[in-house]
Amino acid sequence: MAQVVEGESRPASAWQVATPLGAVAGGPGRRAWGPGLVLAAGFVVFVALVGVLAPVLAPHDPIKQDLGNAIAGPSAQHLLGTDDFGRDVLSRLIWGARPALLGVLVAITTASVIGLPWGLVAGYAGGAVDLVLMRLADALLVLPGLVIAIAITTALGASLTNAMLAVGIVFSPVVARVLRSGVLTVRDREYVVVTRMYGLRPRHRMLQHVLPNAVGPAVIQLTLLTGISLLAQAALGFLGIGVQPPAPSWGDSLASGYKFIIVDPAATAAPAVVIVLTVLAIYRLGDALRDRLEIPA
Amino acid sequence: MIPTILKRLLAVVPTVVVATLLVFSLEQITPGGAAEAAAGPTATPRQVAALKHQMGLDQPVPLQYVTWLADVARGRFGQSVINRQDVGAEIAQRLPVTLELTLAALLVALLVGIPLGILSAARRQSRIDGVVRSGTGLGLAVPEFVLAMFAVDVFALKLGWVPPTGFTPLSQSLASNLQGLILPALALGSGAAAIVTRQTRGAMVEVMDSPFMRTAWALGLSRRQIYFRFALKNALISVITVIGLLAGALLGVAVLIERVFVIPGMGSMLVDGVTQKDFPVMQGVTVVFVAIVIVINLAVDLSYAVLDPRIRR
Repeated sequence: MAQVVEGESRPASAWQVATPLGAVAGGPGRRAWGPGLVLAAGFVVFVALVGVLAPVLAPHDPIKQDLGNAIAGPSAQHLLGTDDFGRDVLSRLIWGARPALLGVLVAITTASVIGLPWGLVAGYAGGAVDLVLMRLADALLVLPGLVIAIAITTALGASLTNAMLAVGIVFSPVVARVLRSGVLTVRDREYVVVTRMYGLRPRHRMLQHVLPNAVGPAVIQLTLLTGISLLAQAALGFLGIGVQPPAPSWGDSLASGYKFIIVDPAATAAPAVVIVLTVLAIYRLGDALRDRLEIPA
Repeated sequence: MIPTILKRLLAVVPTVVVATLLVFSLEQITPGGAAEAAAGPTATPRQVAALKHQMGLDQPVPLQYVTWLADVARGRFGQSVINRQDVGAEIAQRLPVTLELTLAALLVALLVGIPLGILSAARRQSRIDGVVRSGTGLGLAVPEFVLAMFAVDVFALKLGWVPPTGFTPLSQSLASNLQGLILPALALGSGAAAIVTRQTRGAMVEVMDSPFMRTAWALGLSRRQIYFRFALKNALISVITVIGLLAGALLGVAVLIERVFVIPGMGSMLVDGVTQKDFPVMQGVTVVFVAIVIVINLAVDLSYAVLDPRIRR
């Protein structure tokens, strides 16, 4: 879970190619959706739909064991084969989209609820408050994220929600740091100074005028963290610390598939491919958002 | 120079305080407390109370923290509540394994990442650059432990080039130690290699666009001299900073890699401690991990100050 380094060079995106067309189609400031972006957005929507419609889509019960038919390999009955308990791999993958969505939601909400006020107050208050809050963030950023997340999860009790709560806590100083630098750039702009002269309350000024103009980079950071939290969830699920078996999750699919990878690599490859594609799609959306908000990478 | 070192050392203090408070407070936030977790679900309230007293958990919390911190500072991590083993002794046994794995992975990341980054920057906007950049994108999206599983399948189980699991201590046999280390180190280093490549490329591009490099070209210096003597030297400083960030990430991912290859290191100890709710084990391992990361970051900070005269002040 490496923190995404600020100032990374922006990958040459399909945007640059799409711009002239977009300018014609949508007018100034609007850009066309390149094929890569459509694909990425489509995939994320697809995964979300699969999660929501899992009871309808899954061909089999994801938990029902059939030990006589274990590690069966792909067939017409079981498109991706069965695992070591004879459970349908495809059905477990489809149901696994649910904890994936829920987990990401918990992690990102936690990171926002802690990180956004943290960064906003630090950037806006300045002085000693800023110093203390940012020292705290720096201290936490140095720590090995995954190890800390594992430790917090143990303390809270191993479950999906607790694991992703822990991941969100680990992410929050990243969000705080990014929002704080955003706040610093807008804090002394004229429109903020004017609200001070009008005598608006600091709370109102912060929430209505500073936050909306400063939050862009933090939102982009949050989309990147969405991808990373999915990876973290798979990792914790693989260790058996997240979603508790026999409930299906992508991380658990990886762990159970690995046990018989020599006979049937497809059962491990399927969740791996789904995870990687979802993460790549989320990163792509983050890039597009960065371009749209016109924030230099 | 001396004031810089002192300043960096002082900056470590808040990190140490925050980290130890965090690890210590885990015991406090666990539902029912560590004693109940250790005693198990069938324990009577009296047994829990006795265990609480034995573990010192009936003392005031600040006192508990200070006592715990003093113990940890002297390397006393207590006994495992599961098998009564001394946690410090077990860490001493397992730490070299994890350190070797992590250092090997870091070496992989640097040996792969720096040359690829230079190549990519020197041939900017070429096909090679494109391939390297999509490769690093993929390297960042594919989790190391997933790569490890397929590496085991192909190179160990199907081709039989290396043993699929297990670990031979360095003291027993160097050859079989290295043989068992190749796949784990490559897998663990894959994501870090992608990060190092990107960082090297970015830094090289930035340096090569600077005025003194234009002067170097104008002077008619050879390509080799320009890339290696001037550009790389300046670019490496930012690569070294990334090592600090990577240290924490690598140690975390090592937990997963040790699980895939069944390596008896700190990571498998942590996972066992976690699944068995063994607080002394979990806290001991976490504290040692945190200490390593803090020391590496301090070393990086200091070397940075030595290498870059501008930072010394």
